Amino acid sequence: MITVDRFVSIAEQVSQSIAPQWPLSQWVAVNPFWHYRQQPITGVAANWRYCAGNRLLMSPDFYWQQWQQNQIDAGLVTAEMVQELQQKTESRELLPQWRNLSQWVDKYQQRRRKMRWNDEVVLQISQTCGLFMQFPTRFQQAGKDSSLYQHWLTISRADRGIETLMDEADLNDLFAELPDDPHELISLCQASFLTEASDYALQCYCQALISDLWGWAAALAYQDARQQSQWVFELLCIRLAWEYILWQLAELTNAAVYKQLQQALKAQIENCEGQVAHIKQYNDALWQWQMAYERSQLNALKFSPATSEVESNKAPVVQAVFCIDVRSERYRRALEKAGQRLGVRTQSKGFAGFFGVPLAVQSKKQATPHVPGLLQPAYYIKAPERKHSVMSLLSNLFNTPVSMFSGIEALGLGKLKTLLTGVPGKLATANDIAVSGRSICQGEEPASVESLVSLCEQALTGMQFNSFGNYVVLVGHGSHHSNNAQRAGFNCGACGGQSGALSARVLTRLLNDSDIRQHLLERGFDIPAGTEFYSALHETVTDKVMWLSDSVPERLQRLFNNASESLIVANNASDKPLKNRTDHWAELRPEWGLADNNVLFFGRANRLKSSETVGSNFLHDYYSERDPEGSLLTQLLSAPGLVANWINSQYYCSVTDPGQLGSGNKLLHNRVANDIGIFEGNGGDLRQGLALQSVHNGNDFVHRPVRLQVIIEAGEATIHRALAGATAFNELFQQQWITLYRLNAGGELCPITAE
Amino acid sequence: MTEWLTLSGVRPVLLALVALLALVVTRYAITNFRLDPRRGSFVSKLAGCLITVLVLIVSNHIVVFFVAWMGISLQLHRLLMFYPERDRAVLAAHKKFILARCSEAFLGTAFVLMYLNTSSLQLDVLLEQFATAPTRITQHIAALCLVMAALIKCAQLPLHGWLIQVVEAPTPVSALLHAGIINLGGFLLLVTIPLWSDSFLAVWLLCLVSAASCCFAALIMATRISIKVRLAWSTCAQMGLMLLEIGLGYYELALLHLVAHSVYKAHAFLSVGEVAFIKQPKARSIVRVSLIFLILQGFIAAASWWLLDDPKWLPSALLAMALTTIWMNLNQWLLRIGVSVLTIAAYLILGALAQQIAEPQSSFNSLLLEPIITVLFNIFAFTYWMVHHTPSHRLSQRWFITLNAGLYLDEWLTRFVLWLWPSHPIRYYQRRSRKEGRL
Repeated sequence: MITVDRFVSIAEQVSQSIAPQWPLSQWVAVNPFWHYRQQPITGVAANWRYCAGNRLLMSPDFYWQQWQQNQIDAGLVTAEMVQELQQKTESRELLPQWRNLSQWVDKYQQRRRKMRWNDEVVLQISQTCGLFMQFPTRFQQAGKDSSLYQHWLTISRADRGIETLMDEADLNDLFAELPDDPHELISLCQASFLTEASDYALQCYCQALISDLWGWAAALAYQDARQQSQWVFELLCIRLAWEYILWQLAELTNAAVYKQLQQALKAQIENCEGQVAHIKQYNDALWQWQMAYERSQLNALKFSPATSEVESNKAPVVQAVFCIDVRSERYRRALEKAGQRLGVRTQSKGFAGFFGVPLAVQSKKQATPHVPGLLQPAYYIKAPERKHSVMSLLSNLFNTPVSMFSGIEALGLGKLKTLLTGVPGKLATANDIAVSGRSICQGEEPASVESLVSLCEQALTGMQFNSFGNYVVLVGHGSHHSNNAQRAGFNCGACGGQSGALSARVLTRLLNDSDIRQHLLERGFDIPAGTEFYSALHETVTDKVMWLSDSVPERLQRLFNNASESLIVANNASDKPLKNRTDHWAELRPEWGLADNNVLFFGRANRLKSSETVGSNFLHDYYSERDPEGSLLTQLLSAPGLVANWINSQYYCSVTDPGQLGSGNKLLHNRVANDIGIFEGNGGDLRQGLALQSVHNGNDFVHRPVRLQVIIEAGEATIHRALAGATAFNELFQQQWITLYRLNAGGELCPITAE
Repeated sequence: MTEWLTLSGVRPVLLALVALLALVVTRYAITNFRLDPRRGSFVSKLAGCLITVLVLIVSNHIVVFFVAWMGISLQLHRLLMFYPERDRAVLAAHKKFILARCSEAFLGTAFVLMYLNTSSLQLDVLLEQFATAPTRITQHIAALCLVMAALIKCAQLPLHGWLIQVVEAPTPVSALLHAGIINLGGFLLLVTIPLWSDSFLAVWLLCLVSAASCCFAALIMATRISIKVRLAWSTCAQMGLMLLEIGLGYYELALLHLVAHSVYKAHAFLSVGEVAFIKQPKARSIVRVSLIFLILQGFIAAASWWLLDDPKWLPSALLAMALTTIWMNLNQWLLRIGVSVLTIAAYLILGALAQQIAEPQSSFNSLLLEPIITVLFNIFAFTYWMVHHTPSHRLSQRWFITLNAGLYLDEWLTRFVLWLWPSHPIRYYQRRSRKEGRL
């Protein structure tokens, strides 16, 4: 028997292991299992499969199909593996799963002609969380100290509806008797039905409970991380309170069901460890197949041997620095080819899209960060003053209950025009934000020249310029979509779900400043007077580039236009349908975004030869000979490396488990609490991950379920040194959440094995 | 030809409105379902539904009218069941199915009574004869039946639950339903005015139910957390107002409301993915707000009395509410006056335009009815301000929670529907249980 304190600490630990989900306006990709990175993926997968039915592997059918279609390299597969897979596809074994009390009650109570408990419990908690987030002035008066659990108690005790709906007359008495303190509730539960539970069983139970409301848990985890509240833990307690109520209800009203519940729970507590072991064993063969499948995907990737010639014999005229986003891979190739066609020596580089400028845009109410989710912004820039717009007054008029009647009669017809034309797409170019040295603030004060110079120094070091061409273009990227609640997920992940326009503009502005250049010279960066920096925005639906700088030389414009045109031709697309996709308010698949991303490459992009896999690789420039200590590589693994893992995991999970780790059908999406998240339809949990429409083309998935494969062009010693410094990345690597390869001088990939 | 078809009264306007919606929604759906293997199936169901609506609008034969009325609901059912694996979608569709049959029963009874009285199946002939030579008791019954059919069709309280729950269907279905089909209750009453407007029972029933629905649904709307559900409650309230305007004899306002609301609501549903923030009302002194409102209301009613010889109680109150909101959301006097004048002008011009279209018809006159309802709307406005401008007050909290629970109106119906018609046959459950594992 375990103590109550132990139970509390397990519950706390499970709650703290929920990865956050950002609100829709800053929606960035997240690895849902981020906090489990110190455990091996196979164990975590088996555990979550048992607790909540989550899948981190495809079904045996998938691997069998891939094998039949020769998508898996025969050299990586043994006869034994094939036999085992075939047997698994035929047997269709059902894996065991933990059931919560609500599910057992549904099973034993014969509720076919009544509302089912599990469904209603999730809906009730979900709605209560929604109220909590939607009406902060009413329900969060104590700020971060407001108790979600208390809020739920207040609502539930006042609500007479559930009693009626569920046809259970005693429900409200049970709510009234619930303790006001969540810790007390835990001890009550422990004493009444979990007396014999082991640590392991309790952890399974907590995971199963929280997984019912994973979406809300993730949204609340985001809040918890920002204000040190304990809302996820309280959410778990709310879910547990419902279990306690159902247990008591059975005890009071239905002896037969109560007995069945006791037996079921007892058996479950005894067996859970064995069941997880069974799943783990069952999965072993599938993980072998998964690894073979992943390795086979690399076959299409061909690298050229390292050349001994020094590259800098002819300095490029145009240098373009792109975000490492997989969509810029296509564009970079097109640009370099266009350069060859037009006889302009062009070099492209890959660098994280916030260009090393940790910015946030500060408005009166809130700051919108333009940095990767794991970083904190250090500089602030003022948002443009918003005037009282007619639109906001109209929206107010139509949305306020008292004014909507006459308001719509008088002004409702004003929507006729947009009804016919649709809501036009939006693309943030940040051109309404004033960017100058003085408008960048650190805290309250304008940032000192000293700190701005350091900022530029870091950025230039990271970009590893050999020499500077005449034109250096910083290209951010942004998505031009209409009516897409998840638009931020298609924008720049490194810019916090915003477009990369602002970051590009800021750094351009700084690097063109003669004063700053003077200071940079003192620190060893000699930018020739003839070098001019420009900023641009790559629009990822139409593959066009918008200029953010003024007076861009025609030569430069021609080069980029040429590249855009060649891409459109190469994709067998034409201008108009693409343009329509950006502007049509009914379009659910304006672009495939980062679908099919699977490789992160640190090295010389020009060593990557293949053209087939274009659009699957994150390419980050890295020259190991200039980083003998491996310190730059450590930084790269810890920043872009993790961002790539988060993006890759989001896509991976949305494909392996679209039901629970994806956000379902976009046709049914229903925004919750303005921008907290999305319901699918009318209720259930808040959803996380990508919509089916973002990873599926109606026939098949467009994203291959491959864990991120990181390829580094560097010596083995450098890599190991860098790994030792990049703790989180190393954990992901050691526990097989990602795979790692070294590109050797001969152009071969050598796997690096975990210790 | 006139035996079957008619384009009298409000029909041309409605025809144009439905044609517009059909164009917009179908175009939207075609893009929405791009790459979806079930696009053809969805669009054809949608088109079927829209064509039936058009038939209903122009039909002059009561049998055709009735069949179309029923056909619309049956075809809508197929759209609501587009994802039969979703339990809550099925539950809502079943609820709607049962209520639609009730509405048809009322409509059928009304039509049979009228036929028995006049031996005519032509709607226009029937209207003339029935109005001139009534048998009192059958007229009352027929009028009540018509009103009931309309109230159910327009999802008025307490039979509103399905309208809220069918947001489980794809977005274009919601747009079609909330901007188009739901209006048919109002259409039914607008084309049969002589049949029910003399029956005081029918008018009182219509006005009281729709006024209560309007006020409560609007209050509940402000407590919702998701955008589609919020819009659905707003539809329920707006339909209440439309029916109320019909009941009080403001036919031109009802027509204007029908058209303007359709346009607004179609737009609102179709643009539901755009991340927009609905501002929460700030804490304010309700005394000040109420005072502004009462002054404006008195002023408008007085002006209307002086100019039109009729205080127009309800429109004055509603207009005053809108102006109060404008007043409180703008800070500069010039803007306040400018926007207010613009709103009033638009309201008057559109109202006058609608009057040209809606034929002037007699309406039931009661000195009491409209003032009573206006008082109700005043209470509604004060309640809203009390609940939302003083969020920390105890009374406000209690009201908020009660409103959030939807006044406990729908639970019994849900229970009844589930009992009568479980969401899925047993076989489905067994199959699914097997899929889910060893449960």
